[in-house]
Amino acid sequence: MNGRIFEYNDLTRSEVVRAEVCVVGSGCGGATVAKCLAAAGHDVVILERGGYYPTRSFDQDELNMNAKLSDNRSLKTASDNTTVLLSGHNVGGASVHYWADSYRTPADRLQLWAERYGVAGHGLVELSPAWDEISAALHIHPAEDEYFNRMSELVRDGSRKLGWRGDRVPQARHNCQKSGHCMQGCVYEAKKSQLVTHIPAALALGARLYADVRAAALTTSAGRVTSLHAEVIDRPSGRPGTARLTVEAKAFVVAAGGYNSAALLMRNGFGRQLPKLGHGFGFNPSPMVHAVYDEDIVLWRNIPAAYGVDHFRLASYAHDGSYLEGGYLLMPNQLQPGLLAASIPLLGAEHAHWMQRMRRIGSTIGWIDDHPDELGHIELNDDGSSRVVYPYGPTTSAMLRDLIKKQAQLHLACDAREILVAGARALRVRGSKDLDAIDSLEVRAGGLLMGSPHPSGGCAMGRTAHDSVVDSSHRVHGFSNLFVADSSVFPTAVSVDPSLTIMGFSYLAARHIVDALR
Amino acid sequence: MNMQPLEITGLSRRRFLGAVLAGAGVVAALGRSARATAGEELGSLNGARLLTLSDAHAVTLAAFAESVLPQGPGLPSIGDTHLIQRFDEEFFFADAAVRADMQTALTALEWLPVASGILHHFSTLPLGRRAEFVAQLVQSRFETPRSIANSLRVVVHFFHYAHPATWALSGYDGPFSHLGPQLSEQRLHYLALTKAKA
Repeated sequence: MNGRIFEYNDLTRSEVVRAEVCVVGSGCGGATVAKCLAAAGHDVVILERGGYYPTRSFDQDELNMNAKLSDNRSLKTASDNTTVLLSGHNVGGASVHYWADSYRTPADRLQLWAERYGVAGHGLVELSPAWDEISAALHIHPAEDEYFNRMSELVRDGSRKLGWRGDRVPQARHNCQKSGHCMQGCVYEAKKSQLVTHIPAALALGARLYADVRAAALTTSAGRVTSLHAEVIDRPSGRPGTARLTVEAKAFVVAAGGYNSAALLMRNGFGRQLPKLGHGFGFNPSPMVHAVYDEDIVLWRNIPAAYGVDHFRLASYAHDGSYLEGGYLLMPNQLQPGLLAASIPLLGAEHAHWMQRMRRIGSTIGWIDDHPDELGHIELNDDGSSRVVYPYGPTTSAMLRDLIKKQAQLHLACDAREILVAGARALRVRGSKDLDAIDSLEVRAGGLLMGSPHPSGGCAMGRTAHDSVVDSSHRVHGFSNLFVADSSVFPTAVSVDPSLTIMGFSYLAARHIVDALR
Repeated sequence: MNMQPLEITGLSRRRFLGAVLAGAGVVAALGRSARATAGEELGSLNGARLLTLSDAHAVTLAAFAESVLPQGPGLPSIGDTHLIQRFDEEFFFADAAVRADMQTALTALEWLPVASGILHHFSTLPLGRRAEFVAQLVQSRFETPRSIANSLRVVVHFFHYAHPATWALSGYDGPFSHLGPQLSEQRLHYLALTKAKA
């Protein structure tokens, strides 16, 4: 075994690669499962369609790093045209541009998945030892005082005034320099992304990683995958070159991320026997609210979110089932100037007037816990590319309005001078008298600018091929050696940032794969 | 409380474009629009080739950017921020479907005034009327024009204000460690193909 990274310029001729396990994807799911399998003594090959960008290639430039790290350069949207699909396109996946917020899956969510969806063996008892190990490796700990920028202080103080529960956000970082460039990749290797943790650990244990390699076709026979065929992408042009890679392995793990795993299986015709493939898709829609303060906020420095409000994590409903409030986390926001400008829904001089006050702009964001009965799905375009269709149903729309209103209330509690909702109507709030206008905010295409950083579902875990895609051993129904290990196996959204849930599940997936290899 | 759910596209952008063209009776212009949408005639800017935008698209985009960005002495222009080239480069490396949607959006935008009964293409409207038209589009009750205008606005503002030429305006003090740009293989490839300057 020879642990190393191969890149497009190493892969000039077509070749066959043999291994015990082939892992498709190198993000939180793929890197973690590869590291665990390599640690168990297995010969592992990791395929990553994006490029390998070591931290020495990071320059903290907003556009340069968006181009290196973000799939489709953050230009792809869901069917509503304005929910931007955010995912990684590089070795280490989205963890390289994530915020390092590292929550353990809430017990109530694990219970829901077990009771409603039939997920077995993924409770606190099974996951806690994995989380303990990951927490030690990734230095996960609550944010200390020095990592509160002014926005995190305002979220903490404002939420306390309002009587909302919150806490320090657990962070996967060590020796952080407070640069504010988490989303541009951490040049200091302080943020513990997969690029600087599980990937090098897997390589040290002998795993091989092929960057710039896009999985295309799975060859199957008698309920087994026998080989995987992949294109080598010419990184400079971003187009497929002439070289092809064929991987022959005893087991295959799809860990291409929430936006891609289901699509890969759909392109290979698995939907014919798995009717739920691509369904049950969520992505934590995340509306933003900006505000101008009478003091400098300097939103773009220190860590993104040292303090989060989890008071409204679970939605509450009336006796008749109608929605009351909640169903989200509320967090401080962090934006460099390009994305801040993009999210200010004003034009011309008015827009420039806001940008001129950038030092005094504060911002909040929230992750909607996708309602289980209003999830979306993934479709394939004629060219095989994927398309996310998300319905924004009535409860989801009500959650969005409630989250926007709560963000505005928080800014008001912090004495913001003027508040602006990041939506097409440029809704402004200057006092509590204006809050009711949010109740009639239209949630519509081209109406709200939102990111969607946390995809889930599409290959949901469950009991049978009629209600799910994988069983509780992460094995695709009907296939003895095909597994899925990423956020696409979650039956619903996690209700908190999902990275630690993905890693914990991947630890458990690795155990099942080890068993299958015996 | 208004519980109206999101309207999902019933009319695709390409079909919408077809409707715009037919409704406006601009058969003579079809050739130009079709070529532009297919990207058969790629444009150029200041001697540099464009790889995604036709000349017509570049004109429409520049006119749109002028409408949504502040104008005045001392303010950075789209030339200062290399907006057209950056837009062309970013979409060159996006999926074909994303690129095609952008091209269709620009073509549709050019004809939207005609479809609205205004005897001008978008790019030939005087700046003041163009800005008013965009202000109406971003809040239109019709989904497709609203989406086109908002999507283009988001991208224009993103690329413009991420450029260092705007940082004096915004008070942004630049990347934390001032490392200097490290151009990726793709940036270098784009620059080599287009003969543009970084």
